[in-house]
Amino acid sequence: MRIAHISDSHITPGGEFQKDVFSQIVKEINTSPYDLVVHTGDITDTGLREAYERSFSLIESIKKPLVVIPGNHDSRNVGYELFEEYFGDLNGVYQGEDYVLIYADSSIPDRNEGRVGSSKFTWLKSQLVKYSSKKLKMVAVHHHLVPVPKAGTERNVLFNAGDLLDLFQRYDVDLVLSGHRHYPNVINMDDMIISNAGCVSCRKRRAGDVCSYNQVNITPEEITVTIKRVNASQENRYPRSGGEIFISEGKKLARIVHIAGTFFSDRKIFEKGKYENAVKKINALSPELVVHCGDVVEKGIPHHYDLAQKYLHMIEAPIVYTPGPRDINYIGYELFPTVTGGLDQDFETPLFHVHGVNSSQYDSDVGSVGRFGLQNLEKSIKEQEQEMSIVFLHHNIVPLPHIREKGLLEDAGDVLKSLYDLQVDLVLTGHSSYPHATRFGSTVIANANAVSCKYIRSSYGNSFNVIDIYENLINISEIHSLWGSKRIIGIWKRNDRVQQ
Amino acid sequence: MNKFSVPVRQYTTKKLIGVTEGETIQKACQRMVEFHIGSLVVCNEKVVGFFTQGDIIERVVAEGLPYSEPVSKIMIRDLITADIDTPVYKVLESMQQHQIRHMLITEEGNVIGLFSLKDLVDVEKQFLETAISSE
Repeated sequence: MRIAHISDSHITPGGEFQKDVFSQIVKEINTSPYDLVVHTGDITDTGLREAYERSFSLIESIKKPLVVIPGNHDSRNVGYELFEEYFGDLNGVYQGEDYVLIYADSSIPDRNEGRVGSSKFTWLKSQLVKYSSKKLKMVAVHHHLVPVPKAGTERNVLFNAGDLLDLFQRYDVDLVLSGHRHYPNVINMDDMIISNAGCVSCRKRRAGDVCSYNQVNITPEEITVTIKRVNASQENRYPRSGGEIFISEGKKLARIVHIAGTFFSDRKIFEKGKYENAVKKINALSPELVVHCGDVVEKGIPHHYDLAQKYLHMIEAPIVYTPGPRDINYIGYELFPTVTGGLDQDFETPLFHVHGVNSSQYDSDVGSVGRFGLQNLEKSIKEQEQEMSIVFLHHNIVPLPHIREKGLLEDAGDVLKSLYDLQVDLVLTGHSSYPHATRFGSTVIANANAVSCKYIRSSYGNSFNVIDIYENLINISEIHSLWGSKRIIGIWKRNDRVQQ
Repeated sequence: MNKFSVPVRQYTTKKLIGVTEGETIQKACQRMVEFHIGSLVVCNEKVVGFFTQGDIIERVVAEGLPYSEPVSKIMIRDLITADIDTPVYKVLESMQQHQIRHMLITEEGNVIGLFSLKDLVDVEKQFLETAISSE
């Protein structure tokens, strides 16, 4: 099957619309063997009737089966009512014998950000249940689910992206199509391919980019997404697979314990019993290293850091730290380096290099690595001599279930793209008190739950992660702080770069 | 939508730990301890067998079988399976009939995952989590 994935045409009388480019790309699509064209929204620029009228006549020039979904610009000025008049259902299903495309309106009237709300989330799930047995499952929404590069300060503009990604992965969705940010990007989250189209015919392009669309080729063996810029093409190939069976892990090379949210405090929000039990378990595991991804204390005040010194000494293994925002508030910006050893900490063994990046800012919840910080990190990764690279920071770089946008780095798209391209083996984060691990490309991204804080988002309770690195695979398990019970949250073959 | 009427796909573990047929019972048990899991698939290119902690107690410890014997001696060869699009309640019915706590899950005839009674706890959790995730 071959799909032309276009987005963000922003058709309007006058304005930013580039009719010549639109006509050129439509001509290319019409004369190529596409089975389906999917337009992932922002057909119009204003949502006004004259914009819809012009859009309808131009979209009619596409002579292929077509699915059109609304974007935030289409919903402006109550344009979502006109969308139905001109283009049909806002949410729906397009299917063939072996495939299904489920599409949903993620726009919020007169706002740029997106959301798939309660009833629509339930409807989406019901459609995934209904079409569960289709060999090829695709979902289209306008707003991107995974942060895209070159997005400026806009992070992941779909509020509940983490919940949707989790739902799609459970139902083995093969392909997610979206647009919105006017910059093309393709990324694989384990076996799920996420195609983000750039703008097909709008002047508002980012980083001096040109207009583009994505060509998606799907065979039983692989999915290939080619970003077709008007002046160049860039192909991304991903093998398709079902379940995986791990027969041989090889020799165990290292064990790392990954914690966050110790939350040392004189208030009951700090769960002393859970912390002490967790430490007993950590010491029994004999890790080479403990990585603390922040929220060491409840507040950056001397008394809380006195408690931190007392309790952290109980851990026998070496520890590296990165601060959460609360660690550096008040006078924490002085106390954190004094107690833990610095804001940007590194650790090296013959096998791996652990790079710490401070993503927290004084008196702010907004996380950022920054362009300067990212350049330094990239340089440090490129210069390391070890075969494995591990990066740790406090804020999330991908959306997690039950978490909204505030935990994500402001520049998550750029950081994710950089670490993905550099094939960093492991990224450890500690915001949001939810244990999670998944792999983007060859980069495993794991988040640690709060180990001993009452604020949790996991019904499993407080926990920490143990990461076992073998010759052939990486296994991440979650260990309950109080009971010590263990469950696997992710297991992956080691990336090709390491195996060579 | 009843939480048990959804396909077992939603709760299937699609990454399995396995051993080869010739692996010793002791080595297999060490893998179960290493990964903290209660069952293993046995592979010979495809999945040809399966056994659980219960089988080890019943067929090895209680019978006094040497740990150096290959897992092929104790594995279950007649695999009980369910297709990945089978509703959860039907899988549970089948598990009840066969008196088993683990069900191998297939897609197009190939074993690709596992559903265990322990996952039922997660079903409950999912119910709660979906409610939380709704805005």
